Amino acid sequence: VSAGATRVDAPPGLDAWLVGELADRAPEIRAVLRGEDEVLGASALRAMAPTRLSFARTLVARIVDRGWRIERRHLEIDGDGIGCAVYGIEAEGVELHFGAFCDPPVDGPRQGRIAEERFDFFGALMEGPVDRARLQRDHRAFLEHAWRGRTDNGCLGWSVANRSARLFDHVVERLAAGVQPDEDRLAGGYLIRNAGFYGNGRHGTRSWGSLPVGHPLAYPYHVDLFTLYLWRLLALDVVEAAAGRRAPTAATLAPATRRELGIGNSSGIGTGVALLRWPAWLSAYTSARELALAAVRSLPAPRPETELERVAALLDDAARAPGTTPAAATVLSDAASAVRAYRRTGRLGDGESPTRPWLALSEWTGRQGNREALERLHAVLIEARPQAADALARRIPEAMAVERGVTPEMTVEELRRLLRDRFDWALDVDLDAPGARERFWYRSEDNGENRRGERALDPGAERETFVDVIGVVQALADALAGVDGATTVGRFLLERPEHALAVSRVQLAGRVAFSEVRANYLAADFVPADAIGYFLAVLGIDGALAVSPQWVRGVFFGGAELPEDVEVRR
Amino acid sequence: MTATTVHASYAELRRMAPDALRMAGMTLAQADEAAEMLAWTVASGAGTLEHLRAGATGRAPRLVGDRAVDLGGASLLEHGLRVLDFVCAEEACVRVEHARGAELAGYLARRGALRGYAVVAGAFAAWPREDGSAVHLVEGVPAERRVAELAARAAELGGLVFAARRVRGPLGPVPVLGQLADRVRSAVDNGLELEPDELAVLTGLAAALRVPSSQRSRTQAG
Repeated sequence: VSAGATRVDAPPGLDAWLVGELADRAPEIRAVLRGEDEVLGASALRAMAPTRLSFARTLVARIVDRGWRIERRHLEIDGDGIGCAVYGIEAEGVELHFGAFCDPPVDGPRQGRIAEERFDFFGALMEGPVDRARLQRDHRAFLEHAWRGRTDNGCLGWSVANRSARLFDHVVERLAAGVQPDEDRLAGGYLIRNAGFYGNGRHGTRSWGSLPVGHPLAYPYHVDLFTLYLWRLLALDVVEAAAGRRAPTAATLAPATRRELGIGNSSGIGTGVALLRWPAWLSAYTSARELALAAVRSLPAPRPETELERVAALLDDAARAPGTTPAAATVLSDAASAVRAYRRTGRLGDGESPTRPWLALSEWTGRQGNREALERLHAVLIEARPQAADALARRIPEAMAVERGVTPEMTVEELRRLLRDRFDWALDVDLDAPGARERFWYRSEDNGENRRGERALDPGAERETFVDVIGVVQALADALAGVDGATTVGRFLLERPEHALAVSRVQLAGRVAFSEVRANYLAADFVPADAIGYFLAVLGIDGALAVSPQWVRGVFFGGAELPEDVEVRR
Repeated sequence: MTATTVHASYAELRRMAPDALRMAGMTLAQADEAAEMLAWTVASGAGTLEHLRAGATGRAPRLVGDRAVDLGGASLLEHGLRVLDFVCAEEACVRVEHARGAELAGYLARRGALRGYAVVAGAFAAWPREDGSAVHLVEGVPAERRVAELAARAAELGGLVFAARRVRGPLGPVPVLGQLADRVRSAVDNGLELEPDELAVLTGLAAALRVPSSQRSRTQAG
């Protein structure tokens, strides 16, 4: 596995990220930046790990750093875990409420798919003061109309969730019996599983874009993920309350157990589509992460003792983390040992004294042939320079907002050059090869659930979702052939408007790095779980596991600080 | 909200519009950017979702000499951005013939302004004339003289005209588009009220893009 040691031609648009301390070391950082094939090829997607820059982690950091106060204001739960709860949140001067309804559990197996209409939990995140009637109105709208229900601008989003079939009842029963749940069953676990957040206009909710700069939830995906965070709190409160209703002698969860439990998540191919749908945001997160990594890999020897010990300890944690495969755990443990040996002897891995120890460790790990271990190592390395990573994370919202519009004054010759420079990987794909266009992606009438069909067998290809970046780029290259190079793009598109989408993507890739997944989504051998895994890593999922080629499961917020931890720090 | 209207979110319009536009006949390549134009125009009050009913022609515009573009009966929703691209790229002034949807010119003028162009877009009979509904003078035009020059050229051509010139210099607001933009900002912040029939057209068309389900189809989910 290549660790992407050096690059000669750095992709465009990265200078804007290199400010402050990073600007002083820009040449060294660029020299060890990984290439786009290395980062956004199919095999890389599948292994990508969450990092300090992942949105769930930046959310928790914000909650802790800025001292959000999250209080349970109301809890009414019976012995079966049915009832309701309200949480009040004071976040940086903004008042929010989360109303949650715990309905009788739905019988039988359920995956929490959008095609379903019944869930165990319904929640609504509201801004400002809220009363019970208002919350009940939204709950009723969902119960009566499901995905056709409506709310209003006071609501930031609706969310639904289901009980964990494996843990929810077990934990309630154990607590009711006055004992703690079985520790072996809890590792990497969750009490309830998120089944979706529906905000940013869905059902008439408030547009995310209306949140002013500085609003506590204005950072990308923080509204969605905060709701998941609240589900985690609700789950802890519900199991304790249900156990308490069953037996006055019931136990409460041990603090360490409360912190360990996360919120489950299962995501399908819609998240894979999102990677292509929003190239600017793919670029923003990936650029920030890769620069954060390069900033650490470029650091010269010697490294401070505290930094070496911190990295070794984090590697130990990563090796032990739930969800780490045994093979990756072995490599990570070996890497931790290598760091400790380096601390003692100044020699790393193969006995060399590296001038850039973290780059050497990255390359050594790459040579072990386990991509999962390599990406987890990289996530750990980013922690070695948290200030640099945090500075890069702060720039992500601005970079995500870059528009993918047409630049009409560019000439056709310039566009052709850009195509060759930035999309050679796409132009090289043989779309006539067997299986190259075998699949198509679509949304079904089952509430728009994303699905993937076979072009030769299934109906609906004429209504396919756009995932064919390679196809439109190749068609653009064909259309440009023979056009006078001095022609403006504006004139070209007036006559050939069908190429506007491809032109805008190519031009965006001329301005920013890491904007395109370098894989053929239509190919028979493309595994959607690879793209889903990447998206979830961006969000910050832990223990991601592809349970099928089209589903990825994992846990958010396991081990993350709880409101009581924030109170202690206050 | 009145008893007869439905509350909708700007982001909701923006999200559903691409699918609806595809079912209205637009290509995938056009639908996304046209969706933004449609949502902005509806939110600004300059137009309605009725544009969806008109559908798309599927024909490319035709340049007639260098002073006219024939849309062949298509709406600016379908090809307005391409006309804007052309006049910006070549700092041209063209009459747009056989076109529908002149009320979309406000969005297009603003879009040109965001690119750094002074744009005159709208239906001209003579200059000076600014009735607020048909003639859109761009935000950010530094000198009235430059606009006047563009508008004068537009007036010579008459009809629905687009003209653009690259702006180099400080920018200042122009009231006509500023008012439209304020209404859009309000719609983003507070949502907007739509006639139920309007929203039904949008949701109906968007839903029509969805593929019928089957047992086999359900196994293709992920």
